[in-house]
Amino acid sequence: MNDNGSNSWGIAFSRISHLISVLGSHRNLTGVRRHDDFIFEADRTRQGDHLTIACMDEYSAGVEFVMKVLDAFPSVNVIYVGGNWNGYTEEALEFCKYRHIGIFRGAEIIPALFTDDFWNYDKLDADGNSTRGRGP
Amino acid sequence: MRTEILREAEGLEGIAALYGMGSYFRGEASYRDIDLVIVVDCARADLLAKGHEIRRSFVNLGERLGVAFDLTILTPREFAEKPLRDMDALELLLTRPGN
Repeated sequence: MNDNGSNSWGIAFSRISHLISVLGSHRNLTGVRRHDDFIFEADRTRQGDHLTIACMDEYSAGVEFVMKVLDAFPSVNVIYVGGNWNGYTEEALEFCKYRHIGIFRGAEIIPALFTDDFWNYDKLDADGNSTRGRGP
Repeated sequence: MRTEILREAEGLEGIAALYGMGSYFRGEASYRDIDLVIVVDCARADLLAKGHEIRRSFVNLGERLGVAFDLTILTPREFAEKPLRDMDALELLLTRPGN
């Protein structure tokens, strides 16, 4: 799973390698495996369901980008857009929530994958406002 | 290069606005790729196909020019959210009246 492969999506191995580490050490995931260079399959221990996770590197993921990922990999139900420098739009978040697809950046993915409805995961700032959907 | 980029965008329907960003548009001598933000105004049902068309078009242009383009495609509503860290640094290349 740790091999440095190649892909035509411009996703650097450093990004993939980081997610390998995050998913491999996640306490609610088991049987994590990787294919097509940047797609991960994993089972959740607590919920007993299955996740297909796309590791992307997108500066600002919009609806069109989400559609593109799902068109190429229809079974994907988690899209990781990359680190905190990257982000996704509110419209993309709405689009994903409606389809029960989780879209995350940075460390959001860690607590989200503990929750039953991971696509609805939310994180509040000090003022009680949602930080989801905010751009980079 | 800008002339070719503009010509390519003008030949594509549905592009409401085109912006440049990143090292190329800052005039830096060294750049890995050319970053473009493309605002697409079309029906949601047509967005994927329109995105494919635009991406394919810029891949072809990149092959002709020997450069790579990194496209961020956004709807007008998404662009209005100001989702990019460096919105103020965007360089407007094309806008279409009525869009």
